[in-house]
Amino acid sequence: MLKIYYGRDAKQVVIPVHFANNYEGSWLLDPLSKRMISEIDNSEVVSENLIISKVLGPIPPERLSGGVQGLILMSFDDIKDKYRWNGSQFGNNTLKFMLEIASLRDYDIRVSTMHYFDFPKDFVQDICIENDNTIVHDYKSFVDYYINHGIHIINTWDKEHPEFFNK
Amino acid sequence: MREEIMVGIKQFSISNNKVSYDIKVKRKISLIGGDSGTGKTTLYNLVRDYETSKLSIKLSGYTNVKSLCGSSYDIIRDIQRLKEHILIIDDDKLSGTDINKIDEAIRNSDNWFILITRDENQAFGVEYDSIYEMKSDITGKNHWLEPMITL
Repeated sequence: MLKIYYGRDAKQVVIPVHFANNYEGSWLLDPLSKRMISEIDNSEVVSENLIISKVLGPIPPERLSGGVQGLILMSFDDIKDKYRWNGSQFGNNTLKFMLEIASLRDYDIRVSTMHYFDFPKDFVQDICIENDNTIVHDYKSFVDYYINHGIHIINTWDKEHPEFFNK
Repeated sequence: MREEIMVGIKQFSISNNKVSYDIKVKRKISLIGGDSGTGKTTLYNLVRDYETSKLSIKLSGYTNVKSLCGSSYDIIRDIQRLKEHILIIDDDKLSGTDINKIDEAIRNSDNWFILITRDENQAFGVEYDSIYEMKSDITGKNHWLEPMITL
């Protein structure tokens, strides 16, 4: 299941750093990875260590966008559901893949975010809002929760968690 | 709440042999968000590379531009040390606590800032016309900023 936490998480994974230090070349050869790299980064996977970007030319995996790196890590990395991924990395064009990965994996995908995720409007899938373990089922219920609770949580989170910044 | 005083437009163009950016900002703080894979971090890297090797990258217009990196301590120190710069901060590189620690240094600084972030709390006090997304032409090589919100 996809689990979203509105707020910050001191232990959330810094995606580009984690990707650069942990990715396996074989992950890029997976059909889902290839599709994500093609659709989001407009690039083609040639081999484990080489991607051809239509804009940048040949690039190493480290130069994939943060959103694509995050999706690949969600799919394959050992972290699984131990920590939350930093939701700031994910643009709206990554979210359909986030839902797909959550439906395919046998572990929860956990994300913390301080911004609104504009999921595809036709999505029908359970998402757990970890702030209070509410389960939303589709776009309408997701938006309803965001309007009625999520906006307030995000707006007040920093003030209500001063201890977070005193580390 | 930040006070945004419009003091004029700052513009710079930066390019290498693969990509170019024509960046125009009109307030002290601008945010760049939007989709993944649109070239935001490439802009950040290009400015950072210019700092390392000015012969390798073309920069024109307002040339006091710098990408900040390192820990929040390093970034705050640079914000306090530098004057009359456009400073680019990519929260891609920062941990969850860092962007908020840096916030006070940004508010107290006379520099201008381009924050690459989707954090809605960072948008507080930022004028709607200074929240941008990165756009590019059909080749994907030439980039510019467009406001995400138009009224």
